[in-house]
Amino acid sequence: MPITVKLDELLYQRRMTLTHLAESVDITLANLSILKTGKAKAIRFSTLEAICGVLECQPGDLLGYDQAGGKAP
Amino acid sequence: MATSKPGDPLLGAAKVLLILFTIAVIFGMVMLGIGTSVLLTFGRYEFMTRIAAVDAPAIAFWGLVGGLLLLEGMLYLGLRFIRELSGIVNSVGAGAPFHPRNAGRLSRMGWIMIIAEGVALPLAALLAWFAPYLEKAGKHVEIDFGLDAESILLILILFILARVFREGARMNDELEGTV
Repeated sequence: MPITVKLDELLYQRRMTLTHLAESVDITLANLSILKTGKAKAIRFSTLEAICGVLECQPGDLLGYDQAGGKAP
Repeated sequence: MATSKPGDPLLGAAKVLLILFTIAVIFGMVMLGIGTSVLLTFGRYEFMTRIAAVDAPAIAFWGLVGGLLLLEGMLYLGLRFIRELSGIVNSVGAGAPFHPRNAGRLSRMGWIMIIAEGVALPLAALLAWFAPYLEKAGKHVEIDFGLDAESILLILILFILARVFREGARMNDELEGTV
């Protein structure tokens, strides 16, 4: 999947656990795990907004694009 | 996220009705099976006497046996239809109706209806053949023969719904990975 999720890095930088983030953004731990492990197929804007709000970051800090990591568009 | 729906009166009523229909159909199949067995064994002589009394040919016996077997087939189709519908109702109760299995169930229900209409044709033809002899025996028979609009519509609805559920399952699958 060319879209990469840098949630691990952001959590490490902010010294936050995934469980704490789940409680703060009102998203289930299961869904956040799906996102963190790159298994998510899509992300809602509301989810992106909530995560960026808690982690105080931009969507571009959370998501990346690696063309070599998947099929070419 | 799939959630169950406890206490849904419609689903509850549907489950009860389907159980009752299942019992009725199985009972009918068993009784028909017993009746056919008796006819083929102990009841054969008496039946042959009765058909001779109304000047029906001897082959009427096998016509009746064939008719009973076709009826048994119809009841079996009815049982399969109820079982497929039960599967759908259970999946709705489990909060996960949009699954490819339900698309398959609806499709099979459509085919069951088509086969049932096909089985009904020789049954009606047999009944039409028996009618004059039954009239002679003092039993009036009315035959409603042919493919009616309701059956055609039901078959169409089932196949269209199968497509709807197939698409719903695909959309649900996409949603599964959405956070």
